Amino acid sequence: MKSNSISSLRFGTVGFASVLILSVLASVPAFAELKIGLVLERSGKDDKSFNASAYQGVKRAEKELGVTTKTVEAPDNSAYESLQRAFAEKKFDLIIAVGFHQLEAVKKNAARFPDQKFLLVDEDAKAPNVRSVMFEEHEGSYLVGALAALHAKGGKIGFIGGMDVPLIRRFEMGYVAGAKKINPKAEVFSNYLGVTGEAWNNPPKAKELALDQYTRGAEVIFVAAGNSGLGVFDAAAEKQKLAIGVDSNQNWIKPGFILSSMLKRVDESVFDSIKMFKDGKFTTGLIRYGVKSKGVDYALDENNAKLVTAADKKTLEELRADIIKGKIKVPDYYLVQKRK
Amino acid sequence: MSAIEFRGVSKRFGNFYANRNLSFQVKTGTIHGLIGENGAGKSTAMKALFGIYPLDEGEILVQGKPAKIRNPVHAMKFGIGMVHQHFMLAGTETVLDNIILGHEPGWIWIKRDQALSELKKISTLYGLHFEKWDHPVSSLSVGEQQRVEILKLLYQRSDVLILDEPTAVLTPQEVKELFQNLKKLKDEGKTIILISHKLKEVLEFTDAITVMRRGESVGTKVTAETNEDELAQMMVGRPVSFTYQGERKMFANASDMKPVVRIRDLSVESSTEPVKKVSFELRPGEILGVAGVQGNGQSELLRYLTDPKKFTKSAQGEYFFQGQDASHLGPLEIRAKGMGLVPEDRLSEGLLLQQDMTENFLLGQHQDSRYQKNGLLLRKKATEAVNAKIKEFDIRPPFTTVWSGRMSGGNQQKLVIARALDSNPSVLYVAHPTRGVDVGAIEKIHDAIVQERNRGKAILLFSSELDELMDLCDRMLVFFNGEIRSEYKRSEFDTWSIGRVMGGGDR
Amino acid sequence: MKSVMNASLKSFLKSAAGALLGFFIGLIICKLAGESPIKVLKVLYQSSFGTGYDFGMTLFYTAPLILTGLAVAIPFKAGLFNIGAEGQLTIGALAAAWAGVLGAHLQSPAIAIGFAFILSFLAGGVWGAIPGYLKAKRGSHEVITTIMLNFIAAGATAYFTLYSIKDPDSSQAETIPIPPVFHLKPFQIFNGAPMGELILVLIGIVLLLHFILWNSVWGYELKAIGENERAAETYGISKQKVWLSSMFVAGGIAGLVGVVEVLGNAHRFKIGFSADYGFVGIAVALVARGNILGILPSAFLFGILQKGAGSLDLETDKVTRDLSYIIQGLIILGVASEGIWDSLKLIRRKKNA
Repeated sequence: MKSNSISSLRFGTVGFASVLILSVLASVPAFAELKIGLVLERSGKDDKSFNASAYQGVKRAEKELGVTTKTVEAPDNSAYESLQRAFAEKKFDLIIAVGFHQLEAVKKNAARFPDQKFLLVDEDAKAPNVRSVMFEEHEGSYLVGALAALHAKGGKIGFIGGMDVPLIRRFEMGYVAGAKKINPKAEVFSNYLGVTGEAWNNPPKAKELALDQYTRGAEVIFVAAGNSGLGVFDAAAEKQKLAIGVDSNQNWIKPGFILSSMLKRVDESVFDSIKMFKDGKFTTGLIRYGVKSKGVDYALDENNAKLVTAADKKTLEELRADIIKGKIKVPDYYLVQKRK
Repeated sequence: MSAIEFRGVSKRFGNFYANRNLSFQVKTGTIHGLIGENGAGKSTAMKALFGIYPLDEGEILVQGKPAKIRNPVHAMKFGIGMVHQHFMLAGTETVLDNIILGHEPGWIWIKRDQALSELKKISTLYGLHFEKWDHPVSSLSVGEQQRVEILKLLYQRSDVLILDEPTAVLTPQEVKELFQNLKKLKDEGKTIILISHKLKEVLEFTDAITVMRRGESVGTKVTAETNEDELAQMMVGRPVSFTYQGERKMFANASDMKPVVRIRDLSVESSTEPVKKVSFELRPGEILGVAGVQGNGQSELLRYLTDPKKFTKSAQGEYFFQGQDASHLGPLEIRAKGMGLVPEDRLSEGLLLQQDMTENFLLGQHQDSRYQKNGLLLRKKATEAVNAKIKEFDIRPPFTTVWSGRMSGGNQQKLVIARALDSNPSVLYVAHPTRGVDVGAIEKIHDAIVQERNRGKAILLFSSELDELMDLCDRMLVFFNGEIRSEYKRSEFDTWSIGRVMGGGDR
Repeated sequence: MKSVMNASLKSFLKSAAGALLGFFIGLIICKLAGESPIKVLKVLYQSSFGTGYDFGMTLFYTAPLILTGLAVAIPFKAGLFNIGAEGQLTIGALAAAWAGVLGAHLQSPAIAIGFAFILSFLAGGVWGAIPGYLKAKRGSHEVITTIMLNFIAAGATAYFTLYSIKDPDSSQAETIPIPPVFHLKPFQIFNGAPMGELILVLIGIVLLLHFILWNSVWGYELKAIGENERAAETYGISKQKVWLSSMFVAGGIAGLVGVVEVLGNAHRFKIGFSADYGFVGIAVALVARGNILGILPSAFLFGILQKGAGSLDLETDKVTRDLSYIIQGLIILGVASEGIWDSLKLIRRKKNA
């Protein structure tokens, strides 16, 4: 990496020289590569979920768009600000901050570096130089909730959340609403794995909870719990029941037992933003990815082709159309919370 | 033929020679005494022989051949076994399992029957009568446990048996029995090395004696050709007296004086050894001895006397201190009323081994208004006081900054006693003041105790050394099984009578 | 006194040598990973001293470690192993946020900040005193109870955060922000890093505790129980009192991490804000060898490494944040394995013999 930009701030002459070199480089289009800095959450690029998805988006951009990227994983929740700041001081063109934990840091740095462009995923920074991307998880959850109810003849389904935080409550609320739309008498069991970060990484406990819900009669369980979801899939296979995955397409993990996955296309949003930036079409402000743009969606592939029938698909697409038209108002936990 | 021979053996710790050019021979089939003051290097020499310490110089010969013994297990292969001062037995396991531990017959399952029949053969052969094979070791008396240790060595086919201070924990009767047994072993061809600082028993039971001083051998004597005076002189390098020679002030009216401590019908429940209905009075100007084999309630009595508050639920009876009910007081409160304490075991109960003399001196006095003000310690004053004590008691090394753990046993004990006397208490509870202490320090300590008595202090003296009690006390209580079995006046003192009572017999 | 100073100096030097050794091995690993050790050193230096902001951030990481290092070292002097600093600081941080709710009407910064200080200390202290009490009364082992209480603290604070004083305008798991009167002002030269006079207060706390432990009757009793429980009891020192008080003080000091985080940085309580400060505090105390003054350099060292973890990831191609943790681990090993020197000497002597 060209690490001289930090020291250039302190040593005038060297700084001047490097500014000269940089401007020379910038004036030659052939060599002007876009530099993208990606700051991931503590869980890092191997979390098989949210951060992994963002990382894939960036890597895809690197390959297809020919941009230079650098990824850092924050060692703790206080490091976001200094990592973003370091990218800004190194004059990266676009800084991508993934995860709602980075909200405060992006706000501060956006104010400190008004000419720097940021992309914040999963929160709204409300700053003129930040593109904020949020996902309407409740809409996607609504669809898989309806799908779950279609496959629960006894009317009993389950939800297993990771850490008990508002975001996951949002999943749950949409899911329940979707199920009730199909079957107003549907009964939804709900469990959360815990209140610490460990909740995202505890498959054994998730399995126990899932087994319990299946025993109580649940036929489909939607799990939004990061890595812990693997335990639920195990339980589904063991009990010959169904589960629904989350964030990325997890249908392949236990084919035949995973009804679908509630997709949250972080990779798409990241890739799209980089592409827009390259094409000079980058816009700031809040962008919501809902069922309309398919930023949230249910997953269909060869692994669940036999499970999801044509009739199912038809019902879901009707629901999607109604949401887009505004005929269906999916309850949003964030708004419900605020009203309280 | 020598079973063991040391040839110019040296063992250094840093610059300090624990053994220096040590040479002596132990003849096969004899009982060989190894004596010397504390810190003379006896234990170091035996640990070197047992393979615990590597030698710095010289060599050790076993049966005439040079032997490089690497560790205790290796030592056993040379036929060398050791009974440590603190027994190495697992209390909850049976006698049999303790003995065969490490040498279990059988490959997957232990053949206990085979071991037992072999052990029975051994015990008959050597005349070591024993039957409680299936009892847990913790249920045995100290003497029996020692016999288990010896049987264990025989089972391991040891030819050379090292016994470290074997008589410290025994009654006179048990001591006699032990030496009868050792003699039988000797007659069967075993070699026995006896580490001791009790000249009397060494003289009585050994064939030859090696005297050590400052890590070196002063000489080896045939027992029959030497005597107590000569050995003692060799040990300390100067003549020593064994009976207290100082002035003993007479208190003709001692029995009429008002007691400072009065105990009536005191019972203390305890998981170890309860105290049962004990009554006695302690008067100014007397040393009242408490005799008994370890584990007959004396420890519990002492613990109660210094900290009755801890026993409010488990003790019954009266405890008056200076005429006031003391049964609800804690250690600091009793101390404030005039109690000084020399605890049973200075290492575990008396000292902070990784602290210097000043810190140790403050222990128990840290709330005394002389050494603290508004919750802050007055260390300078304490250090001044320690310096005075160093002079008064000849404590060495004479620096207040020395860690107590780096001092010799005798000097540690002097520090403990100096601390106990610092507040000028009217009552002293003193336990085993000379245990593990060298001859020179013993004199000094005995002198201090008698001086305090002569000044009119009331002293309760606990000791397992009958000689010491007989030497110092004005009266003596003999404990057995948690009770006071008998009380002796000074004029009635008699080793054999007291020994019988200590063992549970009649006067 | 002189020899005591010498002894602690010697112990400090030994510790420093061990730390250096661990660090050196860490650099060798960098080399093996294909990264120049010189570069790694440069990055670590730049990341902690490069700019005022960097230095401020390093101090920001150091501050909680000073407190948790103390929270481990003090009970350790009394023979207790406090694994519960993480829970104690979590409770303390929630209390600091709560102070903002309770003291919303306060006008004077001094009173507001003092109030938050006291509340954090008391909350952490009570949380720390629980295992002290359980040990004193029931004999429960403090290692087990403090670990359990860490979980309970996480659960309890999450509950209060989500259901009692949650920020209704936030979609995150965090409490309502504290009023500006509670905010601690950072130093200007730190250029945005959230650290100000507080660091001087913390250094003052270390010096004060050093003085108290060495000179007070309480400190004496603490050390006596820690060194030889039986002897201390024989001479009238109550271990129950010592356990309870030392754990209360330790918990209270850990609780002050809440002041660093809530008043100084986030201005609210966020679930999961701690970078495992409570556990790194164990390492801080270990490297300081229980020496109270040694906590300062030790915490600073770990602060540098924590700050450097992200920078290494950012500035080098091969080395990730994990290397920083490896170096942390190696430093702890280097310090802890001081005994190895002695055994090496012994082996050499044996060979010569």
